[in-house]
Amino acid sequence: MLEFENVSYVYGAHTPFEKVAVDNVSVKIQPGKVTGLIGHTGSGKSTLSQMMNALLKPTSGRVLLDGKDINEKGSDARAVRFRVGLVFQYPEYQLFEETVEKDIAFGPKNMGLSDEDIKERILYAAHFTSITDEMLKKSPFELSGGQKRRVAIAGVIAMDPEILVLDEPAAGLDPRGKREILGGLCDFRAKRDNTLVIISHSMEDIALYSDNIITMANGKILTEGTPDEVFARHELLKSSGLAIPQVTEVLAELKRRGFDLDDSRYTLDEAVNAVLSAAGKA
Amino acid sequence: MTENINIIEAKDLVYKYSDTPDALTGEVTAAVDGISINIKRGTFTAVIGHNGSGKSTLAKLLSGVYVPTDGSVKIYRRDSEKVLDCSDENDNFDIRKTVGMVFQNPDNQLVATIVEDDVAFAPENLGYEPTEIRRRVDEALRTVGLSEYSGHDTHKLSGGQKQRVAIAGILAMSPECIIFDESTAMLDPKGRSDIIDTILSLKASGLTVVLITHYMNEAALADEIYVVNEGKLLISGTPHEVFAQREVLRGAGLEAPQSTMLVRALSDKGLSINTDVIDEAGAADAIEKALLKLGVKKSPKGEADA
Repeated sequence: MLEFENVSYVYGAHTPFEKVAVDNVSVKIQPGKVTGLIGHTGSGKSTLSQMMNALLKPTSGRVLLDGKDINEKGSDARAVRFRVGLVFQYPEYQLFEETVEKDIAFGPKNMGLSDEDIKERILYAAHFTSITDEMLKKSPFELSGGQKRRVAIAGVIAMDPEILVLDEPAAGLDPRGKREILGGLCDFRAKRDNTLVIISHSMEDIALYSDNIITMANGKILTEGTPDEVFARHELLKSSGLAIPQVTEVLAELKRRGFDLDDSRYTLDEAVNAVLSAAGKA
Repeated sequence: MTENINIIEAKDLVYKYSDTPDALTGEVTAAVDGISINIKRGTFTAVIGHNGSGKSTLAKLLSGVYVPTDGSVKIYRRDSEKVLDCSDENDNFDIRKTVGMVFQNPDNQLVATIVEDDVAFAPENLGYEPTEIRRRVDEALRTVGLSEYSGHDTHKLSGGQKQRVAIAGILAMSPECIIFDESTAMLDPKGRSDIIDTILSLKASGLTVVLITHYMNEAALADEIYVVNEGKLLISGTPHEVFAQREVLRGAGLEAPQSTMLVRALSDKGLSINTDVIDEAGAADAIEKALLKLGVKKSPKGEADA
């Protein structure tokens, strides 16, 4: 399990540009679950994510993986990064190999796997990211933006990390592209029983897929809990600059107008039921 | 001279990225395949479609960045009888001055390190007097609400601010039309709503705006929506008309706004409700009416508010 213990991160410490990006955060990432980490730009969520695999070292506090401080002297950062895979924002800009297949193979190859294992890894990573055999042979630069994104994610899935952290995996994609990527990631998580952390500024995108949601604002944890628990506090989310789903907005407006209904619903089906149950009170 | 009501007239547009036939089909795929579209002067037009539908290619054709493989794009200016032709290289310079473009990535369209230098880039290159450049830069930054940032470093701005600097850089050329190619896609909710507010105020000031997007709630604000799929124009109309066609949208990998889907789902469940809704306020109004008709009571507090 990955755990943050009183972690702070300061950019440009002791300079005029000093900025506290993460401010004394203590939080546990539930193993074997999908955690959504949500916050607006500058909330500290990306900085927090980069401390999950020792890419950034906390200014103070500890990041523990199965109880061991990943930044302590003698800790093997390389081994940590094989266990905790991190996918950056817009990973499609990081593709570099001649073919999609080779690009996906890069991580497993560096892990020292046999050719046979690598081949197997490529195939299952391609499966979860809807990459066709035909695409595997193509140059990554012949693909559309959404396809490139899937290739970059496949490259990390192929390393089969215990904890997979993705920064805005669905940003800039259309509804179908979002469903393909997020759905595929959740299938992968369920199949391998590992841990998934999805970072986003859009509640709407990830509420459906998350078991647990952590929201951040100004470097601190704002709320934490199941999607139901977090959405029950939608006013707080909105005041901290987060967009809440349109259906929640509609329910909240109806409640403001004096109707007695449950305004913590965030999916279409649930919102329909909330309105119908209010209608039943006639 | 009678002014043409259209600013851009595109006819039978075809665009192919390469001449090489596809290995499987043996055919050369066209990213844009026979689209005709007229952009009316002073309107806000949204073009929607899924990733890879051809909507960005269309945007680059309408702004003369790409020359069509087939078909034509004509641009009509306000103070000139001469019609600009995007296939004619000699018209390039005038087209750039008439139709500006803002792209998707806020990090690769700024050319200077200081905000006002970036905005001044085009008027400087157009050879205006220093006082005129100053006037244009100040006015452009005021329009996008960044006056107080004129001396700031461009790389320290947020994504939404960078996009607004890019918009100011175009405004400084006094264009007649701006095309936004998914300019909100990489921004957070705050940055996105700032850009949309800017777009609406530009339209209010008489500019023609074309927005390429896959956010339906943004398209809902447009005067007219064009839906593009597989390089072809699928449907067009007002947001109300377009969002009513749910099967067509679904076929194109798109969805109507959640508010529209909510009232439709309620209607499907047998609730008597107006489904001609495109935003949150409309959905709340429709549901309120439906509930009141059923005799559902509002709490006294709500009635006092209403």
